Amino acid sequence: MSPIVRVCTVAALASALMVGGCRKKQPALEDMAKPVPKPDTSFTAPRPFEADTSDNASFREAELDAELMRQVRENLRTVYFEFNSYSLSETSIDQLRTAANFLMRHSTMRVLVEGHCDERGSSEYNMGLGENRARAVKNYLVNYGIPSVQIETTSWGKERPAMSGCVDESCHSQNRRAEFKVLAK
Amino acid sequence: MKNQQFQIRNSRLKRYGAWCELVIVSWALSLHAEKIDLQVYASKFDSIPIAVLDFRALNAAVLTQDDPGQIIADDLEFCGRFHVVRMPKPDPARFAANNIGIFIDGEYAVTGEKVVLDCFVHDAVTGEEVAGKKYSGEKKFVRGMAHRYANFLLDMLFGERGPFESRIVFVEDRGSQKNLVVMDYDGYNQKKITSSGVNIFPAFIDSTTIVWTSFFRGKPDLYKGSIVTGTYDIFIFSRFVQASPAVSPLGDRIAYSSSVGGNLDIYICDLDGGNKRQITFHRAIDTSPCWSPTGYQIAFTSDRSGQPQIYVMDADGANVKRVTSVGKYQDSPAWSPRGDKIAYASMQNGKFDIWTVNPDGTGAAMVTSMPGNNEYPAWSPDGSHIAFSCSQRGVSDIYAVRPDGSGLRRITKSGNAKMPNWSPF
Repeated sequence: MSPIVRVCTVAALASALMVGGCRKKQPALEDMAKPVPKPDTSFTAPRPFEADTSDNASFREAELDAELMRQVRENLRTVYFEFNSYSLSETSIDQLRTAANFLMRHSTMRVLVEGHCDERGSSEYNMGLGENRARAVKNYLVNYGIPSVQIETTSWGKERPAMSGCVDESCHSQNRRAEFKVLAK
Repeated sequence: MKNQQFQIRNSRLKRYGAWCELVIVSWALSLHAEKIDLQVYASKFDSIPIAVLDFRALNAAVLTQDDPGQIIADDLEFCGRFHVVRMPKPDPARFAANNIGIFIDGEYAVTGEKVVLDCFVHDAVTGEEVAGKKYSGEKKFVRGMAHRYANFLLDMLFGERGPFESRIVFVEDRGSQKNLVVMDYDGYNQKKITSSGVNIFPAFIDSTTIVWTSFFRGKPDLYKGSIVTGTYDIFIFSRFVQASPAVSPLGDRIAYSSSVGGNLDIYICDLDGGNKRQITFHRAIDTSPCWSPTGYQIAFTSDRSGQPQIYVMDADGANVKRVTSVGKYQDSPAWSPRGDKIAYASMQNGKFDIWTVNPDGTGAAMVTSMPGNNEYPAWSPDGSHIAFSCSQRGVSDIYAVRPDGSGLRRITKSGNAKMPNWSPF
């Protein structure tokens, strides 16, 4: 192989690598939670996954036995947010680490993250804010190593508050949340 | 049409294929040269003085709840272009005192479940009949007959369509249950469309079909249904969010917001749900689309500046321009059918009020100032009124107001009504 051909081959390979490296653009929301994925040696790839991930999927909660229900309550805890924000607090990140480890242990479990808002503001805009809250939670878990297919997201906007008729901040703050629902064990 | 001389043909039989299936026999007396020309007469006044007499019952059954004279008087009063005087029978002294040139009277006969209703316009000076109409149909449609006559009067006097047969759909909010209810524009004939779940963002496609967001599948999808039959079906759906539908005034496309692309952006599809395309591609929340009356532009809400504000763009997503500047939180844009104003809800000092602004961003003006949140503006099809929901002390009802803030009227009384949308004509 002549030196010129060799140089050309290396250049072609290098540019191919660069193009390949650039093509995978991060979705806009992903850089917001900024979690540092912990290398987890115990992680094993989940078993083949049987779930309706098409557009036809309805989100219905699975029936859980008492023990699993208790574990779900303990590990998949509701995450709370500041007013008009979808940033994850330190407390939320601690909770989500617990959630991630739980989901890794239950690799066939499929969960729904529902984003909710307080009753201030408009219904339309809050649909978007709830969506961003749910996706902030999902993005953290995916960056942590949970397969994306294990987590669905949706938004209820301000349509299903945990507390209604709030007048003070301590009440409003309980509505700005992302809740976990188990869709499949 | 406004400047044309008004003419009515003799013995014209018309069948209106309308919602309530009224069969209307429309007839009138031919106009002689010396008779009053109603459009010329109407053009002399800002507010036309008009008398509405009590309608006569031709047999024993009297319509007290749905007195046609009262319904017509309320319609004319509502539209703000009349000074309505009620009187039991013609009274020349009161005609003169109120400068009244024309009056309305009529009679009806109730036979079992059927009603025949005659309505007339008279010249108040000569007492001559100028124009009349006869309606017949089921008794439960008598309000519709009276509304239709009020629309006929508006057409006759101004050459314009009236909003009196239009309907308003709204959300009946019972906390965990939010259902759609449709009613006449004046609050009567309420009919529940959905019976369970969370149903929000109703929007009329045409006078009998609506599209809205429902959480039937545990997530927000768009549904389409008939307010006549009450049947509905899923329309636009995915694993993601579909919300805030808005139908183009030409009736050919639907704009909505969806999170299919990652966060809420504006999408457009054809009326059958096909040909979906994404119009905005911003990492901010883009939602609440509404169409300009020509269908060439879309106003929407975006928080790309950091807070939700109203923007306008071409219907293909080009030429995005911010419209609102006063206030930190604005949403729910609604473009007037006349095209000159965009109404929206603006939150200032922790409460929403209805504002209007010119589409170029000038002339922002506050319309409502009642206590509580005044939000979700929706224009009447003739552009004369804005319906909105007003909440005071946790009680929310639908109100209507003229764009200049006058003529405020409460339409619902149940205390749990919000998010109105006004039907086309």
